[in-house]
Amino acid sequence: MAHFTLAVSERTFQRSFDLLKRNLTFAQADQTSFGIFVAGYDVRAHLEGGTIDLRADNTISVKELDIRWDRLRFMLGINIPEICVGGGCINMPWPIPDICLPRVCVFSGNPDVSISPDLAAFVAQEVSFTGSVVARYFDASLPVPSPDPCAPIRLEPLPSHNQWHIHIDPQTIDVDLFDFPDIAGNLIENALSNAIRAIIPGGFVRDIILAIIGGIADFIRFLLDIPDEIDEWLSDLFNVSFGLLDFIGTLILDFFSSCNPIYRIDDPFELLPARDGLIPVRIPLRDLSVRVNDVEMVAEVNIGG
Amino acid sequence: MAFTDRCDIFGSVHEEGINRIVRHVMQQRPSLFNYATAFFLQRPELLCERIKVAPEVLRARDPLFSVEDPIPVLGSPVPLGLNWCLQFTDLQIDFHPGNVFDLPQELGKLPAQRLALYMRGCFGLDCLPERFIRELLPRVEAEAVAQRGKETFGIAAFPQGDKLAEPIVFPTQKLLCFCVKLFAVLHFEWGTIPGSPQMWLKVRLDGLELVDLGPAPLEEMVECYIKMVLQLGILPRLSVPIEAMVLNITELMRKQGLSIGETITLQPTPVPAGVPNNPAVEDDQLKAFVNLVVEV
Amino acid sequence: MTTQKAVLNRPVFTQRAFDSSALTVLTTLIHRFAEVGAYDLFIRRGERVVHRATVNVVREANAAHQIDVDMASLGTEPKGCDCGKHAEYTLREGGVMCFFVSRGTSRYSVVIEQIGAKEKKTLLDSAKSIPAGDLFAVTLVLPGAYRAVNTEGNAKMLVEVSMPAERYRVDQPTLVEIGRTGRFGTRRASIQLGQTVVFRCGAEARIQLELVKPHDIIQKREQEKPRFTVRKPDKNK
Repeated sequence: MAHFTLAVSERTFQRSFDLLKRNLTFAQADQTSFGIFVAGYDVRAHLEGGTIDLRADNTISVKELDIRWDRLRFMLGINIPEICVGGGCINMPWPIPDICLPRVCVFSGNPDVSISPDLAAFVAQEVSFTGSVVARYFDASLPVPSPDPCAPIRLEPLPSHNQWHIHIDPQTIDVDLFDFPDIAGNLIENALSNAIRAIIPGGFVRDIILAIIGGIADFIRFLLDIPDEIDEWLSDLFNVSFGLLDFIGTLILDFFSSCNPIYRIDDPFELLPARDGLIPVRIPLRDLSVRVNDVEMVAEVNIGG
Repeated sequence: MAFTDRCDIFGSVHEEGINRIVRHVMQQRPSLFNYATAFFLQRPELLCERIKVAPEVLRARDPLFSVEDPIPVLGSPVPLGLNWCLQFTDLQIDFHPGNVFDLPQELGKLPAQRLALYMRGCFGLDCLPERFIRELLPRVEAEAVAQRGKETFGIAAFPQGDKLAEPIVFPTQKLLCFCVKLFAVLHFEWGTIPGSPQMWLKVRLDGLELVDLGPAPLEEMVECYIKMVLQLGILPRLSVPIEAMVLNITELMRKQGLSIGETITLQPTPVPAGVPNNPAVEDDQLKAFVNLVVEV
Repeated sequence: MTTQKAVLNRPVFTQRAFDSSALTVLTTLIHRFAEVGAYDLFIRRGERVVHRATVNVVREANAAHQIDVDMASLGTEPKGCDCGKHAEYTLREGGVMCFFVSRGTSRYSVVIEQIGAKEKKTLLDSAKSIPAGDLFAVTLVLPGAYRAVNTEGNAKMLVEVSMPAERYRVDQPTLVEIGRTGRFGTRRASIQLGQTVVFRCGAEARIQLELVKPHDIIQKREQEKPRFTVRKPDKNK
């Protein structure tokens, strides 16, 4: 019989899960200049739906947890470069140097356009994962394996002393990592097109300017230096440039990675801190174990002699 | 049968776990269990009981005991002090059913849902050899005569004044020691504490017995005093808030940056509707059954 | 990012006729200075001289071989000229000056006189004609068919400006030679809108272009324009 036992019922997990969903909100904003354009975001999200289930095979399963965006405002401001006609050089017979013609620009000054569509209604993400709970002992006296597969994703450095680590060992993780649906990409493209169209007068002048710039869609790609689809570019922008959605990755992928414990406890455990020059009182912990069955999660630990 | 069949959170601690923790604390923080005069800093081998300590205590040169003032020789016109020591050498817990130690007959068999406490303590007091007394007597008599007619002070106190503040303490050659064993029967109960919104797990004293101390009135008197010390001095300090027993949810949430718009409390599972005993002292364990209550 | 509004360079889209004797937006006159020496430069807006300068043509290799002069930016002072200021340009022998108009509806002409020992010699008076060796460039923005005329050589040609079917470059000019007889080297030239047709004069020339058949998009859009009729109030009523 273990010296200390703590058991938490599945019902408590479910209620805590509901509590977390009701109260967890995420809000963040950022803006970065990319030279010709400025991009930013202002987002707020919460959790909805989903179920948590303790299973008899020593695993915890969270299914179809939705990350709902209350606000997913994307801001993009572009300095429209000069749109000009003419120019180019005429090849002259040697020894006369080439003559390069001046250009005449369609607009005076460099116009700016900016958009800030709210994509909240169009973006939804779902997270499902299954993982087993395991306790592992970290012995600081043993050398770190070489190569160390955990090194790139370890959130906290390895401790200098022995510890018990509780991990959630992922078995399946299904995270829809901000894969913009076409509609969100189209929405931004349309908003940007409208903003650019707004600075171009109507009538045949618009036809001519659009002909010069090769159409707004191409123009946008040219402005943003996008080789292909705008939705892929946006996805990269959010995930790579801003790291906005890293929090989902961090929360789920790192949290449920076998390299990062969700809970760590020193061994020996400090019961009484050092005080008035006295050494701390430390208790050796032995045989820490965590197990899950279909009704509860049980953690047990013994005190060393 | 699952631990949480009738509660949300279950926590238990086995008597062996507690006793091991007590042993670690006694060996790593001996000054909590040993009290003596400064003389024994140089001669710890003269204490009533040898103090067992962890090697790290010796390496850190931590004190083996808390230094206390000498016991005054009452009435002496010259401040005189005697070396002494008080040592708690053993401390054990036994949750029902009793199987760690035997209770004395006076306390009977450990009842259900009760725990027993065993403590062994030794007290030692120096007794001056006759030759020391003979050496000291002329000086004491002279001082007594010199003080005649002056304001007298009670025999239970040292005379005040800078010159006489430090008592003369003769080196001890051998302490006179006696050891007693103390047994107590206790139980746990949930209750509130004024000024705290949450429930606390409290320890209550049911009975106490000092073994082999006589005569009877002395035993009765000492027992009465120890009871008061336990009931009013030590046990109230051992009350544990319910959240600390499992986890401090509010603190946990706060650390995660969550502002919870709901009140989350841990409450003992009701008796007998939920569980027959809470906390339960059975199977050599202390068991606590807790429910998670969320109020909007 | 501060929002900056765009102001359309409207004359770019309204200019339908071009004349080397009256330089307007989208036209460029390129004069080549073949000989070393000093030259007087006069630029007129309409009849008024708005800019006067000396052009020193030198042999130094580090001197510019091309100087662009935006005539629309000259004479922007309240008096309407650079009066009293003496501008000076230094150009390498054989170099060119490009006179162009970036905006506005004004018409300009350029006079260049060689300052000789005895008397001034007029090398260029664009209001009259363009000398042999000079170039006249017109950027055509409105799609359609343009008739090009060299009045000095009694020659005609057609310049077709088409709508591009796909992404293209506007900075690819098309060169049209004008022979010593004043004839155009080709009867027909095709460019895409926003591109430039450059006439290189083998003889003295005066070149005019006029949009004679606008592209459908212009005609159609013009038909779509709403009509506003303003009537004078009837005094009898």
